[in-house]
Amino acid sequence: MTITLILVGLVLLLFTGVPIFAGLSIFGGLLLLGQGGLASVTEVIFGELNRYLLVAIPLFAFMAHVMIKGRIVDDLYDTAYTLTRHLPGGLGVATILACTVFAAISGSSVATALTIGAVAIPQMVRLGYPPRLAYGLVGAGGTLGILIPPSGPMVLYGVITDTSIGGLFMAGVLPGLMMAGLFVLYAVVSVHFGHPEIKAEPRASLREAGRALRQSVWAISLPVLVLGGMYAGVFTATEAAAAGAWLALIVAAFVYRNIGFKDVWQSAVDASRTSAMLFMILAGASVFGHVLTKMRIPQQIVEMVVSADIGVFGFLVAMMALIFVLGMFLESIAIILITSPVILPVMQHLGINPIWYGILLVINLELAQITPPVGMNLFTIKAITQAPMGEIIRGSAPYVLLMILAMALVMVFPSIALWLPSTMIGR
Amino acid sequence: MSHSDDGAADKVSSDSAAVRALPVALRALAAVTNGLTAAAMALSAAGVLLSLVLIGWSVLMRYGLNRAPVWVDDAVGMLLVAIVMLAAAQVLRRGEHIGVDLLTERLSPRAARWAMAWAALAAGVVAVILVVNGWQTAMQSRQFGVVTEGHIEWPVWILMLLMPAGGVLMALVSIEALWRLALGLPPGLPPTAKPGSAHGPGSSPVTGMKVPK
Repeated sequence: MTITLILVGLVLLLFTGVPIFAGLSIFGGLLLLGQGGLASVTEVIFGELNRYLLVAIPLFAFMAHVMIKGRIVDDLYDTAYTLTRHLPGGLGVATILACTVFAAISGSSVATALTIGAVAIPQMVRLGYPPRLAYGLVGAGGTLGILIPPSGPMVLYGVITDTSIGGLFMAGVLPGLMMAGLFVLYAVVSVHFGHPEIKAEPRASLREAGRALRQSVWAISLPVLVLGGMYAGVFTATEAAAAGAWLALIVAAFVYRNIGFKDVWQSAVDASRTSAMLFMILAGASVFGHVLTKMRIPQQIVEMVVSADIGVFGFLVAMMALIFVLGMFLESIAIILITSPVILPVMQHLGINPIWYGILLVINLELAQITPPVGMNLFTIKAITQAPMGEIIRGSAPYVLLMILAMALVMVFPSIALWLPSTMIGR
Repeated sequence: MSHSDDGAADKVSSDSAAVRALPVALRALAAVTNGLTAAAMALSAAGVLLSLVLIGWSVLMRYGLNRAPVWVDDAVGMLLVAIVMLAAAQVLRRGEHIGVDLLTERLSPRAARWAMAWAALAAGVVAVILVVNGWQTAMQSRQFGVVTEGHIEWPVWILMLLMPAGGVLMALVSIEALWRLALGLPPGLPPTAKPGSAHGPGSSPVTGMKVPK
């Protein structure tokens, strides 16, 4: 009862339009006052922010900005289309492939949908693809940004649940590729059977394919360095972010030669902004989490789950349903920071692998990007195309089902997520 | 993620006729807030670059000379506190902190102004907590001579002062926003580029990504 009241109260406060960090801090502060006083609340915030692992987020953001400003990713879409143009729905397939690689660079769903969508949607529409199909492809492809590593939400989840970030990154790879595969399959099937008037182009010759791959070799090599370094145990997540940022700087400055000090500085400013946005929410969530712990709310939930005897599967289905509903209204980061610390003791009690749960959570948060009324990728496509929102939502609907299918597969077959991390060196 | 030129946006804002029409005291406050938040943002960005240099150097030392500087991990963790607290005020001034606008975007202009004032007040309350509680905690740490855990034993109180420092900046931004709203003006600087807002279809807003032929 208490937890329901607290959650409803918090959501109502957030709906008044206050910044999420302020809502969490004030609500947590009020509850703390009810518990006897604010005490050293800033010490709690300081302790939460003062973490080496979190530095990965500004560094990954910096890396992505340098890649973009240095125009290292410019040829990505062209390369993907050269390789897939002979397939039915080749341009749609290229869109998903470009989203997949861009996701491995940006770590952000909105940035992926925005960057690829602004190029891909007009081009697909020009070649006769139904706009609805184009909107859905970009909206869904964009969501891969937070599942395919690097991923800001995964770093935050890893830090607050004390789970290996490298393990989470690796665990996101196969489900991410599986989901990209499902999207590609849907694009091919829907164009082949639903729109036979869209003709495929001749297959690219080996020479053409080689030239196309050479154009994007640096864009592809960066995720390989970042993920490969972590997989091989050479880098921690934070070091991998720094190594990726350094490689991006070197490539942009000395290979592409189109980045200057001003661009580097602006990339650092943008990375600072992104960090402030995310970590102020973390600061607010630390106050909120602190008071929940003081009120023994997580223990109460454990007792509730134990007495309900719903088992691991029942608990996961209930949590995923709750997060799906929250995802319709709340921002992904807030959902992670509000729910994860509360249910962590339950996961420990039920013996749920936190990496497995983390991947299910992130897939669910991807769903949140394309489910109304608050779906960031839906808004992004609206901003790019000015298309009616209803049309964009209908275009994304099949992908919602595909994502639920992917989530169900990972739930039933945990090894889809857990196999790759289990092979990591020095895990 | 945002990608517009910060300095240019500030210049456009400060040059605008709307700014010149503000009361003198508010103009002075806006100038002070603008200067301080811009300087703090510059320090924050420098913190990102310093973290990059320190971690890169640490990796090189570990693999090149087999002498990993153990203090780097602690130092960049502390730098992160500075990065966040120093950048938070300018992000607030631009209205870029994430919030749920599902209901407020449907309000009438008058009601929307009240909602904005409420949001600014809420941020102001958090700023005051950071200032008062942060200062008290820092002074307590100083009194007890508390030092950081880990490889570098720095006095905690100096680092803790980042909290009230960030709080002061955020409080200034909140006061400016409330004052502007009371005069019927927008609460702060325009946000940096929103997704797709300044860009038409057909070209990528953040890259010149090439269209397949």
